[in-house]
Amino acid sequence: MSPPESALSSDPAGGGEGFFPAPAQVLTRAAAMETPRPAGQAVTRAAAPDARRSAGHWTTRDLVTVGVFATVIKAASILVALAGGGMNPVTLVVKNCLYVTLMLVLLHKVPRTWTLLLAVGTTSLVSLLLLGQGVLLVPSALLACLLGEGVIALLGGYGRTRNLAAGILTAELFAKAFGLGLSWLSMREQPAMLVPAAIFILIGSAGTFLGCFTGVRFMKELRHAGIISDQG
Amino acid sequence: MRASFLTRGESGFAAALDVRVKLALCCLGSPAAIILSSPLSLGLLALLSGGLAATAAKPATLLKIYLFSTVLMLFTLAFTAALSFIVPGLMRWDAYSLSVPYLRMLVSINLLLTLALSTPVHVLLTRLMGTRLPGWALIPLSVAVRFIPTFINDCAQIRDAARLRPGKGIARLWRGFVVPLVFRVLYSADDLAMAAELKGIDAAGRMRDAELPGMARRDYALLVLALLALALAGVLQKFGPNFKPLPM
Repeated sequence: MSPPESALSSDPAGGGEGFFPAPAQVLTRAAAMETPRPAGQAVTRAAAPDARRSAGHWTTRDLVTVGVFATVIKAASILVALAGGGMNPVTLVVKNCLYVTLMLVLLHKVPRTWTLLLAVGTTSLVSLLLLGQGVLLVPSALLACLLGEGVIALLGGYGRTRNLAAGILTAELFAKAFGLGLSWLSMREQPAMLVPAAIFILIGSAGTFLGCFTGVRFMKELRHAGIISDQG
Repeated sequence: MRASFLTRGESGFAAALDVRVKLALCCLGSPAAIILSSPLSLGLLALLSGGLAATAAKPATLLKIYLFSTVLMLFTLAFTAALSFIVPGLMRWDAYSLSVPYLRMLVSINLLLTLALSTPVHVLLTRLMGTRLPGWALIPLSVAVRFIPTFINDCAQIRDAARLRPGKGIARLWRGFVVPLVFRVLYSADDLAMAAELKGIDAAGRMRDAELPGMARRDYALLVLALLALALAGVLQKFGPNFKPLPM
């Protein structure tokens, strides 16, 4: 078997022993990249029966995609922030905009319930282990994501772009609010110092709002390129 | 393979500690710093955590990080001071109110630096493989940690390509960096996913080749010392001198 074929093979039976798959199991690159779904269809467990599932909900492909995006979302945000010198309002807006855009792309790529929670949880843990993010920000980010997941579920699930944008927006705004609350706990002897922090959070929130629009626009580009299937 | 070039490699005392111990120190120290409010208690914790952080990174690196943090803190302080001219009484100008928030931040920064700067990516990856985390949590976390060096290389390539493109500012950033980055990431994710499937990695635990090694004596000793330090800080908070706000 040539290397490209081996790289594109799929093994739905689950085991790594099936190294030489049947011809029907050899997928094209385009089919392997994305399993198309009918427009507007809510995502269910039966929506992608062709791929191996992990923990009964996500496929291995989904989990790897979440891991890759978790790194990219965090690292790209840090690169942009560092390029602006830390407290530059412009790069603060761009950083938040980029975060929401990438998260929107991820949720389209892996449109399953709890993906937002998993992605933010992974990002937070990577930040904690390697980048020095505060320990207490992890539970607050997860709590905010639960609220975001709730909003997505209330609006009808992961099937529509607007639901995803609303969920990400909710999660981000609540995460910022919880972060401000934690800052108040740290600076309760000098609460006036929360004012600059609140101003920077407000500037960042503007980037979050902007990210919803750029994310939707970006999705159009990706659909046009055939990388993400049509939905919503 | 390292997450950054800031660490001492694997030679320092902090690098030899088990990741679980460093994580436990962070999980204990950060809430403790928020709960405590005595400058003596927080000073003790800042001193001890600073000593630990000094074994995690080169002194010059630590100095740069502290200087950067100080500049940010002074910037915040100056901004608040400027606001207090407009809104009198907004800022509390006493030693207690000015020192305690910064001591809290110092404790948290020291502990997080110890964890972040002394843990090489491959060590973290090995430890993750040995944990009993469910597959849905283990796979993305391992991929995320392993993908960092690849991503840094990708970014360098995209940056070099972006230099050849015309344009300025945000438009250049968007067209030259963000768009190629997302496309690259989507393809990388697919390639990695296919590789993972071919290797038979799934939620059944096929990734868990490595056994999680037990903790060494120094790990237990450090945990005990940390608990003693926290207890001492608590005693200082409860029975130590009562710090009233001192006017400056």
